[in-house]
Amino acid sequence: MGHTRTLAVVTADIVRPRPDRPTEGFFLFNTELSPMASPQFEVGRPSPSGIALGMHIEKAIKDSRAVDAEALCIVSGEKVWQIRVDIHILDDGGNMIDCASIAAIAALLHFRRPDISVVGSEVTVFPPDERDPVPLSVHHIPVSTSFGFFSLDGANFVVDPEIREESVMTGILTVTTNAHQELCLINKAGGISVSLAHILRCSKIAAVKAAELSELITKSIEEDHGNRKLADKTRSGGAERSLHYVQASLAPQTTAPLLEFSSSLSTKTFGENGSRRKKKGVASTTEKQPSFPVSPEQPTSANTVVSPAPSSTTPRTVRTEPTDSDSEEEGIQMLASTYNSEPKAVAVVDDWLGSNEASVPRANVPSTAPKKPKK
Amino acid sequence: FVCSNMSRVEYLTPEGYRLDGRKATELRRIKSRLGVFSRADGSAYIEQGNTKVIVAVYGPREAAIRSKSKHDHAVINVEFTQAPFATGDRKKKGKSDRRTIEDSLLIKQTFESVVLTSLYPRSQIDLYIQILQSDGSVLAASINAATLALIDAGIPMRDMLCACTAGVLNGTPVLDINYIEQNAGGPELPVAVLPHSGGVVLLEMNSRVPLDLFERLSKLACDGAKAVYNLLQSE
Repeated sequence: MGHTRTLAVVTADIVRPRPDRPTEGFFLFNTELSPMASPQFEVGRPSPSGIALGMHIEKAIKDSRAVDAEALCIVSGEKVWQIRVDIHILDDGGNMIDCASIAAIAALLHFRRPDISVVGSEVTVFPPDERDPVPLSVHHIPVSTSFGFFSLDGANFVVDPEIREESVMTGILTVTTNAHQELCLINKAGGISVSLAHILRCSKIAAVKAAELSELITKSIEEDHGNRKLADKTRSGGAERSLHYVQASLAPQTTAPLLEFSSSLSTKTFGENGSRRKKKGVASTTEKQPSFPVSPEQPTSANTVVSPAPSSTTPRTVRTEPTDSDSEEEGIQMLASTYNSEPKAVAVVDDWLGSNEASVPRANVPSTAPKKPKK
Repeated sequence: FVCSNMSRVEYLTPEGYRLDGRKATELRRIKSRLGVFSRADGSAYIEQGNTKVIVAVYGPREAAIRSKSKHDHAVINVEFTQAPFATGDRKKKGKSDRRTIEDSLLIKQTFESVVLTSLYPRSQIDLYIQILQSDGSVLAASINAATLALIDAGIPMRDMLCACTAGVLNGTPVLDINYIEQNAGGPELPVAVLPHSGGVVLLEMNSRVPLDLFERLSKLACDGAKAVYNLLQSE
């Protein structure tokens, strides 16, 4: 969003469940505010704002029960899925909370975990080329909207404060809502005192924004899903990797969002690297699980994803009708990779300021260099 | 927002009485005392029903860690702890407990906007909050106690910050929830307001509620906070 860039990656492991909740899988959220995002962040200990950001994302998704935890159970009391969401703030252009929350929920929506079958207490985990990976069951899409207050009574506020607005604002309100007009989370901690009427007005605005954003997210994911199906058809056995690139951007001044969508599909065979998944007491599983490096290459141009494309699919660019939007601008760029043993979903929330940037064509250059595993 | 595994406990009877005999919008009795510690610059003890909180204020004093001090206003440090005997089961909550850190940060940010910190550059004000008995609405009680302690210490503030928690029982918004009602699984909305202007300084909710219910809840919580102010004023 704007200059704020966030990367969210979802991975899954099979672990023992918590003793007090034997039938539920659980989520781990990890937020990294790396120093490359902003000079304020240091390596090592997260700052209080970093901790607050992490807790906010966790609360928004966990406490509002956005994703069904019971569906993650494999064998009650013994094996459940542990879904780990890693959120990396790459660039702080203001309003990291909103950006990170969109990235996290988009990544969770996009994620596909391996299909399993349970016979007694034997669990078979199928790699993606044998059986299609299964999506998580997401009940609703919570989206955060932040408001920055100025002036002494908080009458003036802005939606989605940018970095400069953030440094001078006197108070911040974060409202997480979903498309069903429900308030998932609201947080106003300190800052200028604001009358309740303004807060209620903000929450109504947030509900509208959340509806727009969740529609955008679901649309992007559906398109990506369509592409993934196409990729499945062109698969040629062995290890596979498909990389999708979806970009949507809304130009602020013209209030005309453009949905640019380009995808590049690729297949590549990788050597066996061992599996990261813990399989406790699993009788019959495919032992040799090649694990694939995750990293999308970050070339010099803004977040283009590069991937080899031996198959004949070509990047497509689709523009949809512009719709009216407020002064808020957003771009969603999703990079998704599916792997044999470790399906991961990578969602990068990104935005381009101004309409000229949005019209820059994204070049997907095929490369055959082996990719380094992402940290 | 009703949990499916909730036993049929009647949190709110058809006549409108809760488990402890209160009506839906009735606050618990508040008892407070200022100046309970001799050594601290300011201290206060508050009892909201069965919730007992004690707060000690030290400051403004020279910043212990120079790097953390600000050149033009004071820094407020909050240490929010809950005694192991505060709840029914004894549990020792460590300092790096996620909830504790969250609450400390929340209170710190709340008071940083209310206390006139620009009058005390390069110094720090320490708030030590200890929960002696937790029976719901702990955050609200802590904020009320901290306000009283800051008044006792003579630290200037914009207004007296008063807080109250609202919840939902059987679909009805209620005020000042206690421990049992808190564990019923409904939404919990602590709100801190400045009574004279009516402005909200702290508003936090972690559960999923429809927008119109939230509107009613927040209005109720704000009225509750103002009522707390009246009660504290009269003490």
